[in-house]
This record gives sequence, C-alpha cells and structure tokens, in this order.
Amino acid sequence: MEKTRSSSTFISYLILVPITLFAFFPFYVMFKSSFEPLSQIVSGFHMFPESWFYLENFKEVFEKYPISRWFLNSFTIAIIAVIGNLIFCPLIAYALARLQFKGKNTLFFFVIATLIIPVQVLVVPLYLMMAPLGLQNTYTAVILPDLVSPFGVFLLRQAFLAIPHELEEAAFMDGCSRVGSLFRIIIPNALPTLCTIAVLKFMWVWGDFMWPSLMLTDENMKTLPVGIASFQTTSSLVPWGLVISASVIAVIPIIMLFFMLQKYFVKGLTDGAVKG
Amino acid sequence: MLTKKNHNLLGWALSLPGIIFLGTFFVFPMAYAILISFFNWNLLGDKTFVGFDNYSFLITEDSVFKTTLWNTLYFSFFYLFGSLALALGTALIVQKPLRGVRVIRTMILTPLVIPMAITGIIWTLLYSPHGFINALLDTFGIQSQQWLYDSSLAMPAIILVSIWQSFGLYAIIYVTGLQQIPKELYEGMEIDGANTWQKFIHLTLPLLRPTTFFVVVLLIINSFKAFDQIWVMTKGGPGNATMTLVVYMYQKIFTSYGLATAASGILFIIVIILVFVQYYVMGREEK
Repeated sequence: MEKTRSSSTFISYLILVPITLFAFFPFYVMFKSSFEPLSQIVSGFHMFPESWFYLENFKEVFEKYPISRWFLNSFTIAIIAVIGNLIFCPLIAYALARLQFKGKNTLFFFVIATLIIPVQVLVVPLYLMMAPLGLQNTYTAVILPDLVSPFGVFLLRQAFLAIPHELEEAAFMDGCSRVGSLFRIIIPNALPTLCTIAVLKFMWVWGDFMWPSLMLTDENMKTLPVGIASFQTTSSLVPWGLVISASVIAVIPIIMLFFMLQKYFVKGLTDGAVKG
Repeated sequence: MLTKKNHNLLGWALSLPGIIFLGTFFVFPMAYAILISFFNWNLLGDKTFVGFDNYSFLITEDSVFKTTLWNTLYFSFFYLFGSLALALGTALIVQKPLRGVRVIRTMILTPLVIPMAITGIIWTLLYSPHGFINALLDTFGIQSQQWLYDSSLAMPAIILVSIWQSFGLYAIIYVTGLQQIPKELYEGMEIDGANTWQKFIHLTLPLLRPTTFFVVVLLIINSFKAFDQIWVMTKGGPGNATMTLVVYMYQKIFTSYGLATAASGILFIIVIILVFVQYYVMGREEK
C-alpha cells in the first residue's frame, strides 16, 4: 500500500515537472533575455545571460521610446476604468438584486444581452462613432467603453442576492434608507466581489489591445501593449533587446498584482469563465 | 414587508448611469454594426445601401474569406482538443493533495494574466531562428524551422501559444469539477477491484461530463475571438495562413466598413449560437 502510494506520487511529479516548465519557462526566457545584448540573443539560445547586471537594453528602451509615458497611459486608463466600475456597477446591481420595480426583468435581460456581445464586433462601430468626435489619441476614447462592464454588474448582482435580507431589515428598522443600506450594509458585505472586479478589470484593461491599437496611434498616447507591438516584431530584424525589456516592464506589475491578490484573480477568472 | 414594496423611481434612478453606458457602448454600436453591414461604405465616405451584398460577397465570392473560415475551424479544432487534453491531464494531478500543488496551480494560471499581445511577443522570440524551440529540437537532432514564416507551421505555432495561455484556467475549472465527485464512489469501485484506469473511464469521465461540456463551449467561444497573439506574431500571414475571422475583420476596417461589419456580423451569429448552447447546457445541469 505504502509502496504504490509513493510510486504514484513519483509519477505525478514526473508529469507535473514538464507541465510546470511549459507554463513558466517562457517567462524565464523573456526575463533572462532582457539581460542579454542583441548580439547574444540572435547568436542562439543560451540558458543564462552572460551577466545578470547587463542593463543596456533597459537604458536604451527608455531613451528611444517613451516607455514611462506608455506606462503612465496604461496605468491611468486602467485605474479610471476600475474606479468607474466600482462606482456604477453596484448601483445597477443593487437595483437588480434588491428592489422591485416595473421593467426590472426587461432591464436584467438587457444586461445579459450586453454580456454576450463579443467586443470584437463592437470595434468598427465604436471607431465610426468616436473618430468624427475627434476622440482619437485620447484617454476618453479608450476608457469610455470600459467604464461599466456587464460582467461586473452580473457578478455583483449575484453577490448582493447572497447577502441575507435580515441584515438590511434590521437597518431599515433603525430608520436607514435604501441608499443608506446600499452603502452601509450591502457594499461592505460584498467587498470580496468588488475586489475581484477591480483586479480583473485592471488586468483586462492593462492587457487590452485591439480597441486601443485602433484609437491610439500617437506615439505619446499609446498604452504599453500597443506601444510594444508597434516595434515591428514581424520583420526579420527585430530589436529583441528593446522589445523584450519593454515586455518585462509591461508584465511585472500585473504578475506582482496576481501573486499578491491571487485569491481574487482565481475566483474572478473561474466565475468570469462561467459567465462569459 | 419592506422587500415587497415597489421602488419604481429609485430602481430606475440607480440603474440609469449603467443603462446609459451599456446602451451607448454596447447596444447602440451592435445595432449600428448590423446597419453598416448592409451598406457599401468605403473610407472616402460614400455610402450606398446594398442589402445582403456584403454577406453574399463574403460567403460566395471572396476566396480569402473562405480561407479565413477554414483557418478559424482549423484553429478551433486543435486549440479545443489540445487544451482539453492538457487541462484534464493537469487537473487530474493538481487536484491531488501533493506537496507544492498550490504553487503549481498558481504557476499554470500566470500565462492568463499577462497581456495577450505580450504573450505573442514572448513566443515570437521562442520561435525565432535563434530561439529556444529550435534549440530544443536541435538537441533531438531535428532541423531548425522558420516557424512563423512557414505557411504550414505558422498555424500550429499559434495554436500552441493559445493553448499555453489558457490551459491553466480550464485545468482549474476541471479541478472544481473533480472535487465535486464523492470519494465514496471511488472506494466502492476499489472494493470491487477496479484499477486506476477503470476508475477513470467508468467513473471520473462520465461524472465530469457537465464540466467537459462547459469547458468545450468556452473553448469554442474563445477560439472564435482569438486576435491579439495572431496580430502580433504573423498579422494573418504568411500568405493568409493564419488569417482568422477576427483578423480578417480587423484588416477590413482599413478598406471597407461594410465588409468589416458583415464579417463581424457572421462572428456574432456564431458566438450567439454557442452562448445559447452554453446556457441551455448549464440550465439543464442546474436542474
């Protein structure tokens, strides 16, 4: 018995090692390549850089491209989108979860309908709506469609529904209004879901590519993914040192956020997957 | 008592900001896209109503669009089965109470959180002539390949990247499914003398069916939306070897709004059908 258990454990680890390497090794290659001069990168694959203190790629990419500006653009857009969702989603979610009013079911259907529209379909009409307004190369154009996400409304409604009615009833007895109860009872009890929405929204907007790449063409207005993707990666002479060091800069904040707030990410990713 | 009261005014007042945003940036553009798809509208601004011409042009005349549909199916098929096998295999192991599996569960999810465009860049480096993949093949004595410049290898290369990015998510969904299977069922089979393989085939797989169905629908929906990694790695090339539905749509934005929206209309119809299948299956499962 003991023997079969330990051998099955051994086999499990034997399979886990390649899977884990598959998942994580690309990150290692990115990270170590950012410390290699271009000549070394293109000369073939090396397991380790010659020196872990070779920082020329980072210096050069900051000199040649407005990386800190792109970082600021990405950060500003993501943070405003997060704040917008944290303000607007709870309001409509509360109405849908806790209030009785005419047209509520229609409204809920409306939210579900927006939930299943693939964003790729919206890119062309949004472009045609915003271009004539002169919104190209503005934060506004990128942020507006992200301010309220149907996904956030849906997730919060579910969370609000799960809060016991007794909590609110007690507050009403003490003379608390509906709006008062939303802020004093409901929102504090749904904080984990709000955190989930915040981290997921931040991640999505930080990594968003198609819509910002269409709207942001001015060098100084680009977000990190849009800027880095414009480095000509499909030509044969890719400036790898610059591309990879810029990529490291774009990836590190989100990986740190992920490791710190894992629990919210995992909950959100699995719930998000369920809800589309 | 209080919960039974009607709050018509408050209900709509609280919903108003959300309705305005969702209406302006989701519902209206959707309707607008459908409208545009019936027009011949080029970048000079000439608009003429052409009925279903854009759709019929795409489906019957445009040979590139046919390639596009074929590529999208090709991508979906291998992305689907590759992800399914890898995710289930991974889940079967990481659901065990082994030392270190929590860390591994986090590690396999990490590819999912980084920007997809950056994923495309990392893998372009791995696939480059001097990159890791060729070095790995070299140790097995296999000749170097021009992965992203070879029209028969570019699509498999992109499929592998896409599997890499998301298999962790599906594995975690499978772990949740596996944890819902009662342990007693396995013990019962062990008493009857079943081996690991028999337990997997006769117990685990049938009981995982709802999870599998759900994962499959998610995989199909996601496969139809794939764009960022393809755009960064090949822009649909070489030739049209990696041109999928969304890449085609994106390219058409710069030449014909009518064709671009008609292509996105076809994407929408496909996704809607799949979403309904998902809801139907989920609904049945909850009963």
